[in-house]
Amino acid sequence: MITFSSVWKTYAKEITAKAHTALGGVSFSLANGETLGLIGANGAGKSTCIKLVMDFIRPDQGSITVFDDQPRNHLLRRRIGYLPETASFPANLTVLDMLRYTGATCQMPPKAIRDKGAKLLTRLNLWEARKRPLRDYSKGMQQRANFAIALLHDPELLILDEPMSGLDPIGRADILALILELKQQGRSILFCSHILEDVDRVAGRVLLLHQGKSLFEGAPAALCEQTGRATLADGFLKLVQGENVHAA
Amino acid sequence: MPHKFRRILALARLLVLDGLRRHALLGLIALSLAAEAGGLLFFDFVSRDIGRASSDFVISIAWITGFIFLFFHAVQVMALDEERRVIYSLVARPISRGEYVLGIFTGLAFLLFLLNFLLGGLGLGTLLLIKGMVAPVYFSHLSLGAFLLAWTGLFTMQLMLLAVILLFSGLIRGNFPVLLVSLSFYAICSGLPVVRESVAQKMTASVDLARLSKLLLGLTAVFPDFHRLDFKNFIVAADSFPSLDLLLTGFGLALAYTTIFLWLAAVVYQRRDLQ
Amino acid sequence: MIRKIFLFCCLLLAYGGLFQHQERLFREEPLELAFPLAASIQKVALGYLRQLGGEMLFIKANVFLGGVKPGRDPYDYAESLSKHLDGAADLHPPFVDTYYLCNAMLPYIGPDYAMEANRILEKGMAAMPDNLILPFFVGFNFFYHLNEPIEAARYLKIASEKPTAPSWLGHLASTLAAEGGDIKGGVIWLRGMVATEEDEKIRERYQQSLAVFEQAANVQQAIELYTARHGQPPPDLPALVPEFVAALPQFPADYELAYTPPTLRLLRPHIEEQLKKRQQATHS
Repeated sequence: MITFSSVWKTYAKEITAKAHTALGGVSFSLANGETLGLIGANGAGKSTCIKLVMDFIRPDQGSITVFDDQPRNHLLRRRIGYLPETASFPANLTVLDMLRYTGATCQMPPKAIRDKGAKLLTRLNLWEARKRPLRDYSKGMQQRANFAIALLHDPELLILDEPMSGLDPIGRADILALILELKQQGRSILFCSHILEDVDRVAGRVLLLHQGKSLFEGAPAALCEQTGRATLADGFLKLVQGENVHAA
Repeated sequence: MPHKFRRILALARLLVLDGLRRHALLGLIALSLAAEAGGLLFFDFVSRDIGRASSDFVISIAWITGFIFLFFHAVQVMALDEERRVIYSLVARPISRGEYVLGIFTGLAFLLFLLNFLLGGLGLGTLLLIKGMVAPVYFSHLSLGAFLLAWTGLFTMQLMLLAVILLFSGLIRGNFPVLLVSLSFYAICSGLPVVRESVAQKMTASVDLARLSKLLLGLTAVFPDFHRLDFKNFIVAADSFPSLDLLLTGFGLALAYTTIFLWLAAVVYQRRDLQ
Repeated sequence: MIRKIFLFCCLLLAYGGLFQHQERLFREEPLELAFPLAASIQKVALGYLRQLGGEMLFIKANVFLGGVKPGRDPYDYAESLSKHLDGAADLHPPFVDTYYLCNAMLPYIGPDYAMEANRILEKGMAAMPDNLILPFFVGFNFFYHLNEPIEAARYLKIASEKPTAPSWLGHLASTLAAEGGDIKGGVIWLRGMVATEEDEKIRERYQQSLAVFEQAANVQQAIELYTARHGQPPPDLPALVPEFVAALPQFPADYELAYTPPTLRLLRPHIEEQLKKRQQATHS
């Protein structure tokens, strides 16, 4: 479904910042029905990978295919549901406006937009607040609204950028349950998260990135075995610290 | 093709809804409507050419309002889309970057049209009221055709500026830099005809000035003379209307200019990282 | 808390006091009309709003003039006023109020400002080619303020050729031409007016004037013949009799030949006297 082949991405030098290599020859793939977790410290390149898949940015070298096509083909995104890290909407819009927009761009008939939208909003406990501006939503509500918008058009591939970021424990549990439900439905999911316990529960495979390089790709259990640690979090720390020592 | 239009219109609809719900914009419209109604006070200061002064005032208020809309709201919409990552929420859907540019343009153009429609309606009402209140010799002629023409010229200028702002938003990052560059562009457009006129007056056999004149002519193709779409003076002029040739050329050129700049904006957005 | 409220009240009182004092100072100061920015800069800055800018300059000048105290020397503000009206004419040439105000104020300050007014009025003439009032104003200024009847005649002739011009304008132009020494020019214009006038009574009046003008033109021709023969103009009009003209013409009371070698002028003495009195009253 997604294939990254030796992808390089450098952010150009600016007046206030030096040139910075975000990804240095990263390769990985996501098969149909799989759940792949991107893990790594801040600045590891996780969000860069997601932006490359979504065609927000373009790679300097290497190739990326999504559904056997280039990400530049915008029609691919009809099959992708994207959840951004930070919910950002035009200030005065409601979740209904965004749902209508999503449905219209995905060529859904208006009735289907209405019915599916109502179903999702009810499922995500947003029906009562559907006419309030999105800027008035709490963080948890915004995240759920994002989910509703991402799932409206029944996408095969879900890309979730820090889905649990900023949520309280109840919110996290809700979102986690939703992701597991989507996984059981057979959707492919690519998501990145700092919360390794959640990654461990959800992801079938993980890709560990550190300073733009891939340190591990495989099942969480395999990472634990390789590092001789009991948990994914401990295994992650050992690999990353080892890499830091090696670099020093 | 119809799907393309649907996507463009879907984005335009978002922008229109967002704009109509902004208190700042609503406030701007209310202020402009009040200012236009203030045109009724104008003939306290002008004794003879009341028709001309009133029509200038009414259209000038609309221009100022459109100016504020373009350089504050439109620039913000484009720049903050990126600064606040709103653009990710929008282009994460199956909409190309070119369609994104056209959708933004269509939405903002529609808001501008609404603004001009409201102000134009009230402006015409104000002028008719003033015409009825003064002696015919001071306001002898009010042409509806010329009024609509003047307003069309005004709206066309605003669309040209909007296309330019879209291009600058693609090339330059940040709300304030885009605003500065757009204002500079407008200042050059205003100043260039004055410089050209000055050079033309001083030009004798001087080769240097002839070359300079050609350079200024070339620059006018990039920094258009908006005065050529200014038809204010015809509103109260009796038996006077610009020729069809002049109108078709002027509006045709404006259309071509807007299309070129939108095209360039789409190309810029297609190629750049949204970062 | 009470101290803060007290301090704030003191601050408000101080502000109020200073405000009042400033108002008093400015009320006592004579009203000033600051020079406007150059029209070229305003064109650049205002762009689409240039016409409104012109109207604003007019309004500023108009409001200022409304506040000028009687007895104030107009040369105090003449230059700034002239710049305002010039700027208004540059920014918005078809706006007619500018020219009316210009002609109502500037020429009465002095001959230099009468010339300035004419320069501004010329801009209006270029912008409104069918407007007869503006060339009339220029002609009037040349006649009344600048004592140049030939120039006055030229502009009145221009005014008389406009679509809605009254017929007496042409007559006035020819009269002024003759006053200035261009009697033949006056004859030609009058002949044209007689030929084209439809109203019988007016045509009769023109014919009476034409008869006087033709007699004066004969005397002018006699002067030219004398000059050609003797190499210099005659010292006085009787020197022309009887060789070059049988007798000097006798005119009705309202016409008079005035000869200052080499120029012969046909004057309207009673009008000249009234005008001189009015000019003295205006410029004193």
